This record gives sequence, structure tokens and C-alpha cells, in this order.
Amino acid sequence: MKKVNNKIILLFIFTGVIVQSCKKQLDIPSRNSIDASLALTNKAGIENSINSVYSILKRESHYGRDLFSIPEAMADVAFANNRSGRLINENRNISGSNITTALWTGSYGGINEINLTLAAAPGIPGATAAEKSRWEGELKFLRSLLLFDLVKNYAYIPTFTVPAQDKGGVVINLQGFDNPTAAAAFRPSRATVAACYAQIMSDLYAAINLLVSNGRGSTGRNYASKHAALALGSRIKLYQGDWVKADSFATAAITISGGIGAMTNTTNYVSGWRAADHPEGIFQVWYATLNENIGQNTALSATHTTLSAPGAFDKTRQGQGDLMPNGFLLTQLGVSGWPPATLSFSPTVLQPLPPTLTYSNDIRNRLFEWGVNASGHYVECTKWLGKNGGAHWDNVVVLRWPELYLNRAEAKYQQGDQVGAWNDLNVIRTARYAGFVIPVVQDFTGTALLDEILRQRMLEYAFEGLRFFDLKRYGISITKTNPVVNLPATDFRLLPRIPTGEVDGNPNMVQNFGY
Amino acid sequence: MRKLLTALAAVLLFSVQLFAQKIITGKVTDDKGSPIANASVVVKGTRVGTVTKADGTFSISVPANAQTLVISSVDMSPQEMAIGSQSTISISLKTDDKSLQEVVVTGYQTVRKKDVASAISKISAADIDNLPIANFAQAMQGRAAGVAVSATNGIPGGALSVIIRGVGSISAGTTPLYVVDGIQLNTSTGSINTANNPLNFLNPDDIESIEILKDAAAASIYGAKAANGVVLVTTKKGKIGKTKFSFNTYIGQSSPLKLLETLSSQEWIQLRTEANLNANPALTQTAALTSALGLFNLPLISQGKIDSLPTYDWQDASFGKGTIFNSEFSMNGGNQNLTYYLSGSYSKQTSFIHPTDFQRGALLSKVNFKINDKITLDNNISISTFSQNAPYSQGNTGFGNPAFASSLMFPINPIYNNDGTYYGMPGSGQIIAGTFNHNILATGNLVNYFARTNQFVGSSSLIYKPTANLTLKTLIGMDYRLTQDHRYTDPRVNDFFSIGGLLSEQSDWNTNLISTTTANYNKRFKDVHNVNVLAGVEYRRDQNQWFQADVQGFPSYLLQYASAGATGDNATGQWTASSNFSQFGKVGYSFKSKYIFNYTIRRDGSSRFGINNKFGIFQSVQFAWNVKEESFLKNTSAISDLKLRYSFGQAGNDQIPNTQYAQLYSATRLYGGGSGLFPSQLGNPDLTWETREESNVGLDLSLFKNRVSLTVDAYKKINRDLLLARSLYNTTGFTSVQQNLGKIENKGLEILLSVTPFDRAFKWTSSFNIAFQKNKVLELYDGLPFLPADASIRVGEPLGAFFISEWAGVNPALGRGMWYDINGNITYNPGTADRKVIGTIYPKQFGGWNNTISYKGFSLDAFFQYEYGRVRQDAQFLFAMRMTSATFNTLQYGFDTRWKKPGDIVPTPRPFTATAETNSVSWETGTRYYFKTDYIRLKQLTLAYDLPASILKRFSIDGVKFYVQGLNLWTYSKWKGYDPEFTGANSGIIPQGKNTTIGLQIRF
Repeated sequence: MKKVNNKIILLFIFTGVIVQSCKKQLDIPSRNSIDASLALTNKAGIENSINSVYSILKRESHYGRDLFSIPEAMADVAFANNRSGRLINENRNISGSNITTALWTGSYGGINEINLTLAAAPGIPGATAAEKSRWEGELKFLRSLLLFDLVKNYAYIPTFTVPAQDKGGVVINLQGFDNPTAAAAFRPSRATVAACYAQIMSDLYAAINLLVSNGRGSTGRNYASKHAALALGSRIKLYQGDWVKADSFATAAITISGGIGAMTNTTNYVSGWRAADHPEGIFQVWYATLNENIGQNTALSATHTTLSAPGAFDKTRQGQGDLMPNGFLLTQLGVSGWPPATLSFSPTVLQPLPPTLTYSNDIRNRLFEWGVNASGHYVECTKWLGKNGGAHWDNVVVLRWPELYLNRAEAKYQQGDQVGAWNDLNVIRTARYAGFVIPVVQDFTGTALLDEILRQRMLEYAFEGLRFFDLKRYGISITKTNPVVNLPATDFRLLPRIPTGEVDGNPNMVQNFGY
Repeated sequence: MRKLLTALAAVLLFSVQLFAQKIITGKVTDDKGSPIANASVVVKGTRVGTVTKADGTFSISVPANAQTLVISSVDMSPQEMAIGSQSTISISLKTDDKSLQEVVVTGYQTVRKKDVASAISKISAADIDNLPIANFAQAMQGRAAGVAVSATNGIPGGALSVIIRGVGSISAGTTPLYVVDGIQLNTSTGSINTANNPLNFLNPDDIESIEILKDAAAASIYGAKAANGVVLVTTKKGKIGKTKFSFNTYIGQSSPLKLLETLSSQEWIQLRTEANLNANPALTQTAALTSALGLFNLPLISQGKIDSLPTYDWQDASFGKGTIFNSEFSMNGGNQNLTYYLSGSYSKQTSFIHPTDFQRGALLSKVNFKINDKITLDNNISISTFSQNAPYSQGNTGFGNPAFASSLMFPINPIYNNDGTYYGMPGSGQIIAGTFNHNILATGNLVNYFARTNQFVGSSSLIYKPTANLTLKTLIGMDYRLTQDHRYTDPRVNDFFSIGGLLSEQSDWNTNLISTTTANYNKRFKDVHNVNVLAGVEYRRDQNQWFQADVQGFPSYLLQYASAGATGDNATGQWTASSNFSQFGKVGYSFKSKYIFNYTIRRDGSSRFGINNKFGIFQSVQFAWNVKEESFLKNTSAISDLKLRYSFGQAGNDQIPNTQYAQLYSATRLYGGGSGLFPSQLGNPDLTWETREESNVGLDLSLFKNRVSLTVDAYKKINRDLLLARSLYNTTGFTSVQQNLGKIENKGLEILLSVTPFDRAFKWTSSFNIAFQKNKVLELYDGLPFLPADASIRVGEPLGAFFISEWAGVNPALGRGMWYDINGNITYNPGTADRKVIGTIYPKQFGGWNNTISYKGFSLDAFFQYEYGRVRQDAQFLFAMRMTSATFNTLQYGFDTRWKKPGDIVPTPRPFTATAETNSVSWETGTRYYFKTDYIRLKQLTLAYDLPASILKRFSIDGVKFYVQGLNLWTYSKWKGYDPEFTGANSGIIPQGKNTTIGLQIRF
């Protein structure tokens, strides 16, 4: 009896000892994440952190959808049909329906990562000078692009400002936050628009100097490159109204040796859009695997079409098909045969199939066709159609060759070189109108020439997120008949609300006019 | 050995010689004269004793100097009997006066109810017997004052929200700590997508009692895990005596409580035509009608043809009948050294919306073995497997979800083809008109979402009693749970037709280890001072790991496992663990059972917190005064019990994800086939517990021999150092950092009143409880009046408040919807400045009312549950009130109450083909679809009949009971959607249903 008791008492003591020694076990670090102090200490850490910044561009709030589809919905070329209710308010230019907080949050998240990585990169053991140049070049290109996309949305564009309503640019943050005390104490203010553009260009010049023409070579268009930096530079300079530089950046990008991509023509234009990698692409956001796609609700393909393949209007619906070309755009593109009042066709027993559409010689309109019947058939844009090989799986081209000619045409026009402008316009027209013959006599001059350049930008870049900013930078009012909108360029709704949480409690931060 | 035996024999003989013996025989009966078997008969102050035989007789040999016999039996008051010169003794035992002997489990201890000095609610087995519910938390609903239990939805075995004494945390968890037979359960549902409730493992009929430690003082002994209260579950044990068997089965069905009345095809066309004309007065009647018909994919047809259009009722087809089946068998018994309880059960419930169901097989085995006089081994093992077929999408607005879509499908869409196949399947060429373009019945039948949980909860305890006053106990327990989720979306279903079906396989492992060692010392000095000391150490470690892989592209719907899929497109998984290490102690003192004082302390360390603040100390003090024991009340017969209580205590909340204190980089992003590494979290080495401090005053009063009993508790609790994500300006690259900030106050009053107006052959007991609750945010941080990340969390206002603009009804002149601006004026465009606090998602008052009436063998239980003062958005109603502006069906209510002509004073604006009237905000803005969820519900009604014992005796059967039972048979509510009882958003959830069961219980 006593023995049993002793054994049991021993067991009690033993258990107590085990329990006591467990004190150490109160330290259980994460196995899904690594401690910040270990992250940016080697080459793989830097490469992976650069991947992270690129991955931000893939988001719905960025090039996954919003940077294209929201400005298009707000501009004068689109109709939101209320199939899923998305983009309806943006299309009606309702106050508060503009680019979202996620663009702000995601972009500044990316900028902070860039700042931290830029600070860590020079000290990485074993990295070659070429690697360090590429890291810095890509990071600065990305910081330039993120800041530009912020400032073009949240602030006036330098070529057109309403001074009484101008509250400045956006926050420039070049500091990498890595501790909670500094982050909690940060009370940023908005830099001027000019300071923002100066910062954007300073990063871009650095990228141009550090990067090679085709970036990472065979996968070049998926990453930053000198070519991409030059092309972006021409767009930024155009927005700045710095016509000389816009012209020279465009020329440099056109004449670059060893660059990326080339213009397509009327014979390979459509196939270019069906390829996973668009041959005209200079910089694209790469969705490398199927499960990276944004899905059946808000991917670009889901937003713009119900089709699963070209011509499949009688097959199963694949996307939501929320944002359609409006009557104005379809007419300008040279598509006819759709019902003008409603834009939609509802099949009936008497007429089960939608009427045949007729197309002009503008090859670009071949990307517009009848969608699937979902509360009626609409003519839909098929630029994104799961071309990577799976539903809603599309790479998104951010910078494309035709823009170089269109940018330069506009820059030359503004410098007074109407012939040069017309010549660049003709490069586009030759590549897009089947059987186009350059007129012997210049067919557009003066403001008509500028109008035609802007019209070609609208047709070339339909649903690619340029039109709204073309209107914004020229101060052209937004006029739509369906829905009825007449929005002068002075209206406060042109600029979005600065996210409320960024203004609340920060005496240094100024909200945009009207909010 | 032989020597030893000889010696022992000698000693025994010596004893016998020393104390001359005397034989006493007798019989033990109950107060009705029936013999009591297995009653214990012991000579007072010795270990000499025996038990009675089946006929109640006994024979005992007692020492000549023995004075008194103590006779005791289960459920009976022990009785002492002077021996004197008698040699035959007959004793009748009285049924136990429960109010005196009732014990309460208080955490690591069991104490007499009389000695309790804090706020504890107790629910006994009898209260929750045979309820057709999946888990015990559901059984607490309405039965414990101040414990708000609400079902998230009506999915059998689905999630529940249990909130004890109001919400004190903004972002940390609000779930109480569940302790089953000493094992703290891990209640995180992990990453599983299917409705999943970790409390489902236990058959509620195996529960002996549930104690709810409500105030911080009672919960404080559980320290850092106790801030949301503690629920202690004790399962049934074996009892000494002959093996008893119990068999119980019930069967029944469930059906929907209500269906929403929707429009016919004709009414829809009429309403849409009207809406078209309202939106565009320039239209002709014909154009407006053509456009409306077009949405049904119809050409312009004559009124006669419109009148003959069919109306298909999708809701009726989707909401069917569910089934309930439960069968369980238990046996228990034992002798002086060993007792056991063994129970096995199988239960299956199907929802009234196909294919949702719940199935459980459970085994509970409990063995208690006395190794010797001082040492006892206690073994508990619970093994269960439970599984659920889940709906295609639950609680959301998925197009294929019948609970959401069936009231919204266009009535023009046929459900079946003439040959019985589903209409409108992808690839068939048939088109289902409208936004809801899936055949939801097909979707429900074709998808296979199945989750199975295998759970083991078990413990071994050694209990060592070196002296009568000291008990040492070590418990080692484990709670292991594997949930496997197999979600196969058939390639024939609309959403996955284009990708050839999608399979998502997931496994989630929870391993939770606990070891508790306690020492408990009890001593009575001079018969007036009672001292009780408890000391213990505890270690707990919880580990979770999960893995998921998705595969798509199946060549046939008959192939449903990963190897048959074309593309693996997502593989992911994580690991996480936390541990706690604690020491705790308690000192209790009572003087003559009159004055009771308790002090508890616990020091807790947790892996969840920053290096600077890993340990915390939580203390409590409790005082009670049993006024009834005072001489001035002792002889007042009207008052059978009166006790006053005061307690103050601290408890902690550590319910935040693991490693939130650390500064981390994560790699969950992807670009170009490579991982993206990014700073995912700012660290905070100071991160620590949220602390709750609470004062409680209580009164327990019983009158007229306990025919009336009243318990009142009032409390005030403050949660401080809330675990809160402090918003950062996003320009830092981060949105927030976890800190300890802010304060929240909860005040409340809980009343439990129980009366027994009749207590003879006809007996009626009525028990009513109500809780009043008030919640207020006292302080945030940096003097902020509201939380930047959530403007509805405002200083001075309750948590869960809505901060929106107020709906002002319909303009009688124009039929447009109106709102109030901040000054109370009418506006069509309320802005952010016009928002105000309107209602909260937590009820102000809630409780239950139970009535038990018995007469001879019949008994009737009627249990009502109610709540008041809670506001919720009725999202299902919102969707169904688009009034044809969207291409789905609308409610008859809207049609009937819409504005038609100037002067109409109606609640529903005119139909208008757009998301908003011109120059106005959307219909959904503000409070328009926010309603009170107030309800009174006949939660349970049971009629039972026990066959008379006299008949059963002939067959050696202890009891046979027949019963019929109904759940949710009647509800009073003005709620417009399916049902007011839900948490979260109600769009698309399977609502509560009505259950009726019949059952049979046999004990032998």
C-alpha cells in the first residue's frame, strides 16, 4: 500500500516538474511569417520583396480592374447596365463613387515596401553591382508608377487645374516605416502637385539610368525596363504639359534599340489581343498562374463581357458583363446594328437571335461583339477574355506601343509642329483602318487635329483607363446621354474623396474640395 | 507474506476482542414506504458499515460501544439514528432537500450552493433532457439570466454566439471559456468553410449540469481566459449500485417557420411597367410593358396572354421538410471501488432546405476506480464523429443559394422540364430569366459540400487523499479534433460549368493539451470556522494546422476526387500554436456558514503577448452573508433562505490571433511564379491582456419552504486595455498596429424568479428570468470621439450601434423615399454628416420563462424565450424589396403597400427602374431596412407521460416515458424576413425552423 502511494506521489512531483519546465514554451514564434529583422538580409529576400510590389499591381484596386474600369465608367464612353449592380454609381458620376480607398492603401503599402527594400538593398552580401542596379531601377520605376497613379486620380493634372478647388497633390513618403512608434506619430501632409511630379520624374530618371532596355530580357514586359520607363515618362510629361520632354521621351521609346514589343497592324491587331502576351506590350501586369485571376465578379474580363470565347453569345455566360460601350463609343468605333435606345437586345420567340452587327474598316471594332443573353444581349468589349488560357485569366497591359505615337502626336501638336503630329497620327491610322491611304493633303489641322488625336486615343484605348484622364487634363466636361450626365470639368466629383481615415485626426491633411 | 497475514489476523482478532460486537438488523424505506436498495448504513465515526439489499433490509455487526448509525442514500437526506438498546431499526429516509444540499461546480472545486458568493447560473440535466439540439450551448438559450445565446442561423449543428453579460471587447473575441470535465476546449473553428461548431462533439443528454460563471470574481480563477465568462460542463457519472440501463430515442421533423409572399408573374410585369413609367414618364404604356416583358424574355403579348402566364413558386419548392432522428443508450453502475458510465448515441437531423444536415455518432466512457482508500483514478473518454452536408453557399448572396435566391427567382422560370429534369441547366440552351439565373434546386442537389469532424476529448486524473482534509489531483487531458472539408462543385452547376467543376479539399487539425495539478485543503475548526485552501498549476497548449488544395477541370461529375481533376490551382496551409502557463490559488473562510469570504488569485503567462508583458495577475474577493443563519431569522419560517453577496474580480481576455505582438514579414503574395515577401505586421512588445474588472451584488431569497425563490444580481464591469487595432495613416504603409487601448463599460441587472404555486399531486413550477443590459464605450485613444476605422464605435455610445442616417418614410405627394438630415429636416440626399446612432445589435432585455406542470404521470413543459431592444438590418427583406428595379422578384408586401397616387400615406415608395430616384441616394441608405428583432418565442413545448411504477415493477423496469415535443412552435414578432433569431447578416442564411418530435425513454 505504501509503495503505491509513494509511486503516485512521485508521479505528482514529476508532473509538476514537467509543467514548470514548460515556462520556456511561452515563446512560440510564427511559422507562417518571418521576423522582420530576418527578411531583407539576403538576395532572395530582396527579390521576393520586389515581387511583392509587382503583386500589388495585380489587385482589383489597381490594374486588376479599378485603374481601367472605374475611370472608363466615369468618362463618356461606357454604360453600366446594372447586371450585377457594379459600377452603376461610377457611371452616373455620383459623389463618392470614384477610385477606392484600396488604391490609396495598397499604393502606399507598396511605396513603404519600396522604401524599406531600397534601404536594405545596398548592404546585401554577395549581390553584384548589376543586381543592385536592377533592384534599385525596378523599385524606383514602381515607386514612380504608384505615385503617378495616385496623383493623377487624387489631384488635378497640371494641364488643367481649378485653382480655387486645388488642395494639392498627394503625400510623398520616402521613409520606410518599420516600428510602431514612428508610424503612430506620422502626421503627413499633401505635397504640391508639382512636388509630386518632380518626385515621380526623379525616380523615373533613376530607373532609366539603372535599367537595361528590355529589363529582365525574355520576360521583360512583365517587369520594369528602360523601355517601360521611357514610355511611362512620355505619358507623365504629357500630363505635366511638358510637351518637349513628352516628345523626346516618346521618341526615345520608339527608337530604342533592344526594346520590347512592336506595333501591330490591321492583319494581326485582333490576334494580338487574343495572345497572352500582347505583342504591343512594353509593360504588363503578369498573372502567371490561373489562381491569380481576380475571378468571375470583378476581373477585367468579368467586368466587361459575359462571353467565354469570341462569338459565343449563345453559350454559357462566363462573366458579369457590367460595363458596356455606350452608343457614342460604338458609333465612333464604327459598329452599327444595335438597338439605340436600350443598347440591349432581348430575344423573343419571333426573333431569338440578336441582329447582325455591321463593322466599319476600323479593325479595333472587331473586339466589340454581342455578349451572352443575361437580362438581354449587349455589345461587349472582348479585350480581356481569359486569353492566358483559363476563365478570367488575362495579363493586363499597362504600356502599349500606340501610346508612344499618340503621345508624340499630341506633344508635337502642342509645340506647334502640326505636320509632325499628323505624321504620327497616320502611323496609328495606317495600323488600324483596313486599306487606309495617307491623304495627299493633310486632312486635319488646328484644333480639329488635336480633336482627332484625342479621338484616336479614345478608340485605341477604349476601356484601358486613359479617356477619363484625357478629359480631365484638358478640362473637357463629361457628357453622357444614358445615363444623363453633364459634368463640367470644374465639378468637385472629378476628384475622389481622400479616404476619410487619412484626414480624421490629422491637422496636416487637407480633404479634397466638396467632401 | 504469511507472517504478515498472521499478524493482520491477530490484529483483527484483537479488535474483535477489544470491542464486543452486537448485531443490528433493519429496513430502510423512503417516505412512501418503498424499500431503498444500496443505502449505506455506517456506524458514526468508524468505517464499519454495510449496504441495504434490494428489499431495503440490512444486517450490521456493530461494536458494543457504538452510539449512532448514519444512513444515507443517493438523493436522500442522510439520517442519524441513536442505537441505544435496539437490535432492529427501521428508518424512513426523506427525499433530499435540494436547496440545502445542492452543490455547484465553481472551477477546480465543487462547493455547496450555500457557500457560493459570486454570480453563477446552473442548468441541470432535467432542464435540457431530450431536446433535439446539436450541442449544449444551444441548451443554455433563455435558461440562464444574462447569458445571451443566439443561433447564427438555422443550420443543424451550426454556429452559435454566446455572450455572457454583454460585449466588452471591440476586436478581441467574445466567446466564453468552455471547460468540459476539467478540459478547456479550443473553440476556434480553424479555417474550415463549412458551418462548424466545436461544441458538437458532446451529446447534450450526457450532461449532468452546466454551470455558468458569470461575474469576473467567479471566473477569475480561470484568469486570462475568463473575461467573457466561463461555462463549466459536467457529464454524468456512474453511481454505485446495480447496473442501470437507459434507452432513449426520438424522431421527428422540421419545417420552415414562414415563407415570404412574393409576386406572381402578372404582378411583377405590372409593377415593372409602372416602375418604367415612373423612371421615364416619356415612355408610352406599350414601350414600358414591352421592356418589362423583355426581362422575362417575352415579346409584347396581349393582356389575355399575360394573364395566362404561369407562376412557379421556387420558394415552396426549395423549403421542404427536414427530419430528426436520435437514439442513445447508456449504462452505469459500480461498486464501492469502481463506478462507470457508458453512453453511445447516434443522431441525424436534416434541414428543411436540402441538402443541409447534421449527423453525429458519439461515445462517452467514464470510469472511476478507487485504487485504495486514498487514491482514485478517474478516466473520461469522449470519442465522436460528426458530419455535415453544407449548403452551396451559406449566409451569403450566392446566386445558387436557395435560402437567398428562392424568394428572388423570377416566377416565370419553370423549375422542372416535363420529363422531370431540371430546367435551365447550363449547356441546355434553356435560359433562366433574371439576375438569379441558376436552377437553385439543381445546385443544391448537385454540389457536394461535406465536412466531417472526428474529435477526441479525454482525460486521466489521479486523486490522492493523504488525509481526510487534503486532496491532491493531477489531470492530464487532451482535446483533439480533425475536420475534413470536401467541397465538390459539380461541373453541371452554372458557376463552375465553364471550368469543369471545382474541388476544394481541406484538413484542419486542432491539438489541445492541458495539464492541471491542484491541492485542496478543507478543515473545520471548533465546528464554526471552515477553511478551504486551493492551490494549483496549469499548462495548456493549443496547436492548429491546416492544409487546403483546390483542383478544377473534372471530365465527369461522377469523378469527385482530386486525382481526376485537370489542374491543381491552389494549395495552401498554415501552422499556429499558443501556450499558457498558470499558477492559481484560493482561500475560503466561512464562519458558522454565516459569513463567507473567498479570495482567489491567478498568475497567467501566455505566448500570445509581447516580451515585456507575458505575465498577468488576476484576483478576486467574494463576500456572502447567509442572513437566514442569524438568530433573528432562524425561526422565521416564511423565509427559508436569505443570502446577500458582494464580489469584485478581475479576468483577462487573450482572444486574439497568435503572434500579434511580433513584427513580421509574410510571403502570401505571388508575382511571376515567385513569392512576394512583404512587411505584414508592425510589432508591439508591450502587447498584453485585456482586463475586465467587475463588481457584483447579489441576493438569494427563498420563501415558504422554497416555494418562491428569487435571485437578483446587479453588476458593473469595465473592460480596459482593450486589444485594439490602432489605426495608422495608410501612408505609413500599414493600416493598424495592435495595442491595448480604450475602455468599455457594461452594467446590468439579472433576475431569476421561480415559484411553485401547486406542489401536491398537481404540481406547477414556473421560473422566469430576465436580464437588463447597458453597454457603453467609455474611452478610445488619443481623445478620439470615434474609431477611425469604424465610425459606429463612438465614445458614450454602445458597441454594436448603427451609425447611419434615418429613413423618413415616403413623401405622400411624390411617392419618393425621404430621409432626415442631421437637423431633422427632410432630405433626398443624406450625407455622412447626417448619420446618427440608431439602435444596437445587442438586445437590451432578454430571458426565458419556463413552466413545468405535472399531474400523476403526465408532465407538461412550456419554455418561452424572448428578447427586446435589438436592431438588425433585414438584408433578405432588402433584396426582396427592390420593387422590380432589379431583375428579381419582389414581396407582395411591397406591391400592396406601394405609393400609387398623390396623397397615399404608405410605407413603400413608388417603384422606380433604377437603384435610386433621380437626385437621391440609393433605396438602401440609412435605416430603411433596419428593424427591431423583438420576439417572444415558445421555444420548447414538451408533453410527457411516465408509466406508473406499479405496472413497470412487474417487468423490472424503472421507468418508461413517452413524450412529444415541439421547438419554435409559436413566435410573436413583427420581423418581416424569415426569422428574427440570427446573428450577422440574414441574407441567404437558412432560417430557424420548427421541430416536432416524439420520443420514448426506458430505464431498466
